[in-house]
Amino acid sequence: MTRSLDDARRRPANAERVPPHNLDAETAVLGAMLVTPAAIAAALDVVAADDFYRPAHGHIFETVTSLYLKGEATDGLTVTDQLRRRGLLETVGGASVLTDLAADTPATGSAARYGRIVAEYATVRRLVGVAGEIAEMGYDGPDDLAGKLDRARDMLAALRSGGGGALVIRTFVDIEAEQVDWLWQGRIPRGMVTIAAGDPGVGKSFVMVALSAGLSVGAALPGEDRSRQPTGSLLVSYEDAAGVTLKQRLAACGADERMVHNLDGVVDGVGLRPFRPDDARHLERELERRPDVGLVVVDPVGSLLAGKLDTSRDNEVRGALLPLVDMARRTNTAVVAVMHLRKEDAQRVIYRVGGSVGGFVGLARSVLLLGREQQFGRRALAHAKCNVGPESPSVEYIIDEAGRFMWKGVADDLGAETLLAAGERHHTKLGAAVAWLLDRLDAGPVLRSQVVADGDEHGFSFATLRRAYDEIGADSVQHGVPGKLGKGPSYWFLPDQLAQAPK
Amino acid sequence: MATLQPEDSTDRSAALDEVACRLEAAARMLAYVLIFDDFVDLETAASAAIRLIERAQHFVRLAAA
Repeated sequence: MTRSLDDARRRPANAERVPPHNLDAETAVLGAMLVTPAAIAAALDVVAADDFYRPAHGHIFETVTSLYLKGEATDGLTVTDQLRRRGLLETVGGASVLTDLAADTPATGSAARYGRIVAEYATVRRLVGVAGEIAEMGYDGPDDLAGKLDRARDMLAALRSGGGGALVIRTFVDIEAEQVDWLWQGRIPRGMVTIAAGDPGVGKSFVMVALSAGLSVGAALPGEDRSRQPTGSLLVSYEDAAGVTLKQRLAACGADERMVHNLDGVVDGVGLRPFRPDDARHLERELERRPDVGLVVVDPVGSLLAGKLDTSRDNEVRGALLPLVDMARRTNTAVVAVMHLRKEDAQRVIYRVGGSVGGFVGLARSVLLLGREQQFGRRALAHAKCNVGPESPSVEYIIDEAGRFMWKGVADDLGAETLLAAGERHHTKLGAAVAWLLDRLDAGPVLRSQVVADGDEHGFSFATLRRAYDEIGADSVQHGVPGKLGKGPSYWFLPDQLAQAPK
Repeated sequence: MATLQPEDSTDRSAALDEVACRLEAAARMLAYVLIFDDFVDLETAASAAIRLIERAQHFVRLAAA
């Protein structure tokens, strides 16, 4: 705290009148905080210990929040113990006061509202105090009148800018060093938000399913040298149907389906609606009930914000995503936000991610880029940014035409810049055709007539496809059919598929 | 505390959250009083737990409405 509770709470000069206060709101917010940690997070945003009129309430608030910020339990027992250690238990009225507070709070979900009421009453008490001090300056006479007016203005301005938010300052000698708890070693940290970004069609969602599948059976992921305890995942998918795409892909990846969950939506007074950022507190509670879940995937995160925000505005994006960041920290869950890359050409990967550099990327501690390199269309996941450790080597993966996903392993040659350089090309007609053709031929040689017909359906002329064919160094083979005249059908294939070409 | 009642009593999900966290708090309170001698006495804990459960019942009714 920056000042003592008693200093902050001191009564104004005209102390014969009882300063305005609301004890019901004070007990309600404290009770909610003792019932659920979600209420503490909500209250911390709007009220501070020195906002409470009753000193005992300020002490309880300070004790609960200090435990919470240290990541410790905040129930009646721990708070009682902490108050006893600080010699404040008798001051606040004993442990039974805490049980009464918890039992009588009207609604934990309204903690922020109760907190705001407490903070508003604190402000009007400060207004009364400032008014008294200004009155005293007036009674002192007109000496230094300009200075007095300036001070009076500053005192009133300070009231407007102040209020809420207790500063918690620790000296580093008291701060214990912490190791990063990795869900996927070096790439996806627990307790933080990771971004997985890439152009459409590179397999971002499939990678997330494969990741969930690997975790569900306790498999070592690429780049790791040991298996793990089976870990659960929760998929918040706005684009892929749970019963069709996701279930099929999970099965194809060999997932233990008991360990992978799907968030269908949120039931409210109207019906089932999509998950929104302000539902994070419900999700946090759900994760507390499901300690096996170590990964939450939001795919794509843009849908989470759709219709609510201008994603190019930093403050709005941060405000919307902060609940997820807080949830990840409090539950020690890895949150992966899947994101489409923006179409603007930019040199640095991190400047391309999301609508707002400070919004999306600034909140993420790790940013993974998914893409395909230009020459052979190899797919890879590369590290574009990591705030909590060195960037890890890229990992190559394959998605074949039959819809099977396979990790191919570490691929040092497929860095973020390499993938990005290929990605830039996708935003021209030829680039898009190159990407499409790489995808179409990925599983092996295809009849040229079939490629042309499919390309036509995607809006690519034969001339564009032929230029894309040259661009990627594709090859063709033509064979006559026994018993028929002519040269026979022609097949197109990628440079590394010669062995698969029809003989 | 009429002015401090929930703002949105039609939010079923929020009401169920209220139920869950209160039942959990009541159970925890009773468990603590049985395990730790220096916590509150049994009568105080039981009284608080009953009020938590009564409050939870209120939210059950809201959720069902």
